[in-house]
Amino acid sequence: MAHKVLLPTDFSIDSLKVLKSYLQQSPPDSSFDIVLAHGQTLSDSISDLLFFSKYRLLKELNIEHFEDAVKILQNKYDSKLKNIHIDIFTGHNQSAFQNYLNGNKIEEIVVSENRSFKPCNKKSFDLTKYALKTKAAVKITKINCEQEGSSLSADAADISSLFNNQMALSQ
Amino acid sequence: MSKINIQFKAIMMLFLSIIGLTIILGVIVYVSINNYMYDDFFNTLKIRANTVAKISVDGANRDSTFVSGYSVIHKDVSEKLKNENDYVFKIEGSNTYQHKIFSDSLRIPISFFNTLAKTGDAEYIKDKILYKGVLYKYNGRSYYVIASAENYFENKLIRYLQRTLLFSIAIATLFALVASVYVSKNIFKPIDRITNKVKQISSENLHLRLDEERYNNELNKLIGTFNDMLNRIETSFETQNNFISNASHELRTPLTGIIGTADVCLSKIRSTEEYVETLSIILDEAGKLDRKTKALLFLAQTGFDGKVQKFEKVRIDQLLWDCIATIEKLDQKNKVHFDTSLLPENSKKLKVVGNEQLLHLAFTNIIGNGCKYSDNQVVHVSIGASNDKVFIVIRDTGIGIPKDELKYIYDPFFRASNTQKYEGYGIGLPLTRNIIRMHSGKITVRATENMGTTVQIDLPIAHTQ
Repeated sequence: MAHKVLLPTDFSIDSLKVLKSYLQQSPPDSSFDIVLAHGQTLSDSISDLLFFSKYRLLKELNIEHFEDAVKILQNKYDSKLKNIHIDIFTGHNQSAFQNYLNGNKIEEIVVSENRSFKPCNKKSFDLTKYALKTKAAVKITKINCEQEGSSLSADAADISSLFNNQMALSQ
Repeated sequence: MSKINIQFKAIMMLFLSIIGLTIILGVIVYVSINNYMYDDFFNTLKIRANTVAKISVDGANRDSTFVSGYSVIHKDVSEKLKNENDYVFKIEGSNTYQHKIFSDSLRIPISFFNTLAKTGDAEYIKDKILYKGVLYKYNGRSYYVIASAENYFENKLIRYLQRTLLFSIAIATLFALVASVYVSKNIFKPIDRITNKVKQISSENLHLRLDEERYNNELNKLIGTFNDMLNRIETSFETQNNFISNASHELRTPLTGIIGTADVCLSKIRSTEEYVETLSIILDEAGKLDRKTKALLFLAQTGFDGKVQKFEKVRIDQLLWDCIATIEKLDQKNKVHFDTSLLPENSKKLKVVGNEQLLHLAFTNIIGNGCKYSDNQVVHVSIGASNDKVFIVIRDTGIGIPKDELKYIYDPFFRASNTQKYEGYGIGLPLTRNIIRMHSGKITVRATENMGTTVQIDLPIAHTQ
């Protein structure tokens, strides 16, 4: 059975390094079902809520580069990753997050230890604080990603920064 | 010529379909109303026949008030029918014989009476006169009651209907003609505009682009494609123009060296050592000339001659290994680290349709640049693949490129201001870009001065049939 893991993300390539490091450290015969979750407050307008669609919301966020990078990782860890999908968490309190974890049957949350959250628009918020406070029986793993060359790749859409991380480890 | 044909076709199609629809509608309305009118008239006649039966058959046995009541209905209340005639036949004895007599007296076929006897109901039309027969039973006796009258609806209403329908078809024709001409003109107007604009574009004004049309998605796609094509044509034109002017200059530099050295050497008798020195200088310069010519030749080929190259499936990781081997062979000091940490597990995701030699040249160029401008520090080559693209990232920690010069790096013979102490001709990057473009890929260069350069190349994956 695939191990279900939640990763808070801000849709920057940088945030995927956490996933990359996590997968690198995992034992070779493990299998994962990854949820990349992003916090997004919903609009209060009734018509917006009526026509709410996660698919469209993701499209509006314009995360093609992020999706490409996810695909790169998926191709790399093809045998380990049973499934990986991008999701949006729209709750706004701790218990909503709790329900989200229960509903998705999350077994583990992986957060970055030293990476700061960069909101991709006005409505995005960091899930890490909910993750750290949760009282559910969920394992929390903290990953320390080396922030090498962060000045070189300030651009959140720069796919090449996904590769940079590895260089930091190899040097 | 062919455009006019399409426009004419569009007009005709629109026109004919509108006309066709109107005519079909008209015919259906006409036929159904006509049928309905006959049915309706036969119903009127049936009521007439029944009234007549009440008057003449029942009336013979009842009191006068009963008869006068029905007579009032018949004469005064019901509407007048043209040429109305009512007949009542009493049935006695053999059917066939009687039917013959009845049919002779009314001059209508005998089958009318046969159906009447069988089903108790019969209809017949002679000229414009309609006959409706009813089998009426009273006190165990049977009577044929027949009402007949001229269908005046036929003459009045149907004529009127015909006129109205013909008139509306005529109006529809006119309208269809106007509408189809207007619509097709409107559809083809932007195409006309595009054609005219494209006609203006020639080799002198390749910078011109087509404007996007409003509210016209399909045409905007065409315009976008056309503008993309113009972009490519413009770059190759520019490459060619610069190529000629710069190439002659570049080729002259070593030639001047050769001529000058030989000239000085020949001015008097020299010692053997001096001849050896001179010849080695000449050889060196000639070598440079050779390399330049080769590089220029490659640039020229990739810039203008896409058809000559053979495209086949290439595995990018193998190609990169080859490139790295070449680089390391060229200079022992070059250090390249091939990072396969994101290499996809499925090797199908690494296959690209392309020309191996050209791609080899492109990658060797980039990696070589990385080695050269970082004074032989380690150059990192990484590879990864999404579902439709292969990503190759080449990163060095060299001198980088000044920010305001980044936009010129693809100009042939351009060299950044911080490259003075490195040897080069400024051909490598434009050449590489041409090659990557030929493979419908994308090249992105990110650089910070004195920090290093990252080159990212995306190539589309070959789709397995």
